[in-house]
Amino acid sequence: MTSILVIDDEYGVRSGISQILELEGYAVEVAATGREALALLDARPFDIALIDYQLPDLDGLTLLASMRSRKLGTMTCMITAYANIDTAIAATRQGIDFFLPKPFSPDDLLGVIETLSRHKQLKEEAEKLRKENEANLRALATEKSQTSSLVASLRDAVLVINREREVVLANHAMSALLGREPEDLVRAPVDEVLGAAPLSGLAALLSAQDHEGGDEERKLAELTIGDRIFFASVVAFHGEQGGALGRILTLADVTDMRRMAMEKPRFIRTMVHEFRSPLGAIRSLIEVATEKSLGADLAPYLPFLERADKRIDKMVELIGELLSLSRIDLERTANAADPPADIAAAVAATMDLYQAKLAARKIVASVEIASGLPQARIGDDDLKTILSNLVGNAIKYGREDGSLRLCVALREGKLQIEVADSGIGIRTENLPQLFHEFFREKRSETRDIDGNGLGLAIVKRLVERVGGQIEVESTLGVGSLFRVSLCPA
Amino acid sequence: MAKSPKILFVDDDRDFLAAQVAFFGGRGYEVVTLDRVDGALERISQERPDIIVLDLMMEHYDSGFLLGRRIRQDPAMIAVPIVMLSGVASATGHKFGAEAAALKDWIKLDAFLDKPVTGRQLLKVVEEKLGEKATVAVAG
Repeated sequence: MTSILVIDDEYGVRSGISQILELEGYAVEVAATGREALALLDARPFDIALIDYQLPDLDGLTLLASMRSRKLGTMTCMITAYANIDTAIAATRQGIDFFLPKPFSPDDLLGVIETLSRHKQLKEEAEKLRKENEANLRALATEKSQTSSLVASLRDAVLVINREREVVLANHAMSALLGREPEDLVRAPVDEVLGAAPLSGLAALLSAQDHEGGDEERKLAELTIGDRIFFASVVAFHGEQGGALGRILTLADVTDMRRMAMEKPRFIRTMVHEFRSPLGAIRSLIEVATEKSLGADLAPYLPFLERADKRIDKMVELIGELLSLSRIDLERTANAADPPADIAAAVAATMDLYQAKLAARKIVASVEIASGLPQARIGDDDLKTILSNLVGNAIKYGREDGSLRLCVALREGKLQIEVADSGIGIRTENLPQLFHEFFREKRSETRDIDGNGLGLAIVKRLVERVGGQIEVESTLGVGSLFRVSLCPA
Repeated sequence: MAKSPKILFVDDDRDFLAAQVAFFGGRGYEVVTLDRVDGALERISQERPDIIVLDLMMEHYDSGFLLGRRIRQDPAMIAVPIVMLSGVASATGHKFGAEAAALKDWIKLDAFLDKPVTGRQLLKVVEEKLGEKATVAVAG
């Protein structure tokens, strides 16, 4: 029901008007002053307000201005006996919708009210449409920007061509792959863009004709660009009338996947060997006893059984390290809940652990830790594993009566841990494989040193998964230096 | 009683070697062990073993092969049976099944065994090879 507020200081006028309107079924309220009117308008919405130009407290224009600033959406009609052009202009400026000059007949009044309610209705519908439209446009803009950000950020390289075989879209990955700016690619003929080998095969893939109704057809190929292997896929997209509007080429870099697929059998073969050799030795050692090769007495067999026992210990150790490797690979990123490590404390704990081994090999250890270092962004346990591997290696591959130097300092915003030994060193040609699983240098100097070749592989993974780096410098016969750089917490 | 046969092992696993000393020693063999390829050729020609058991992979993947071939190049050693152990057959990717014949021919290898091998298995092959050798010697 349309609600109307009648504002007039003359009792006769306002009650006359309200009677006429109520008879016609309108909901009417009355106000005698401007302030009374504003109070009512603040309390509830009105569709229409009939305003007398002359009010005792406020003039009609001031009231209109107050209403306008309140953004009520109420349609307004000025009732005045003194209509002149200046008043009209002023009132129009304040957003008046209609004028009703006094005196007026009930029909005049009802006609005005009818006009105003229709206007109000239209205005509301228009507003509703505008809002809907705006929401749609916003949604559309969001969707479009989402789609283009999505395409832009794809790791796969994407190239879209139109029916004229011109590039209409190339994402960052594609422009990087082609070595051209994305803007430079748009509108370029695809045969020019993919002209040279090894990409020329893709142009052919893009121009191959679709089969009849082959909407779902997808063409696949594999190609090598530089040292990377890519999986190429071409799909056509169709308009409402059918027929291809263009084609989308996607190139996925599958190098790492392939590499992993190739690494796996190699890893398993090496692992099998690492288990088979000690098993063979253990079997032979036990067989000496089971075959009673040394007579009926038990005593001569004990050294053989002890040897077997030691080999079993080594195998158990190997299993433990293999499990930590696979756990690190599974976790991928370090546990965020791990408290950041205090390097100084971890270094002290590690050096403590190796006191006996250092003494046994008469290695003099020196530890230098810069003061006021921040905590490191790595779990305490992981840091201890790293330190213990590096210090353990420095002792194992160090020389008797030699030295071990462990330094921790903040350099270029990174926490650097250096472990240096004065040991047998590493051959330059072996440095690239040093961090590979199971890699061990086979030299006469290393054959009596225990190890399964997993320690440094574990260290590297632990360091890299927290965004750190590990480097090694070594001089054969002089010694090695391992440098781990970690981010401060 | 005949002189005890001399068996020479070349293997970098010292526990395996220690076990062979006891196992074959307990069965009346004179056992010599070498734990590295370096200097092995010289020792072998000094020791003049009746049979050699050679581990395929020691310091390098091909150490065993090369040593085997070089033993054969010594005219004095041409008739000594060589038993090759290949604990690393699958590790190095060598397909002994398919290539064993060619390989045996290349080294003039007498037998090929996969590690881990039991002493009994090894003993059986060793006795067999020594028996053949004796037959050849008698026939010759």
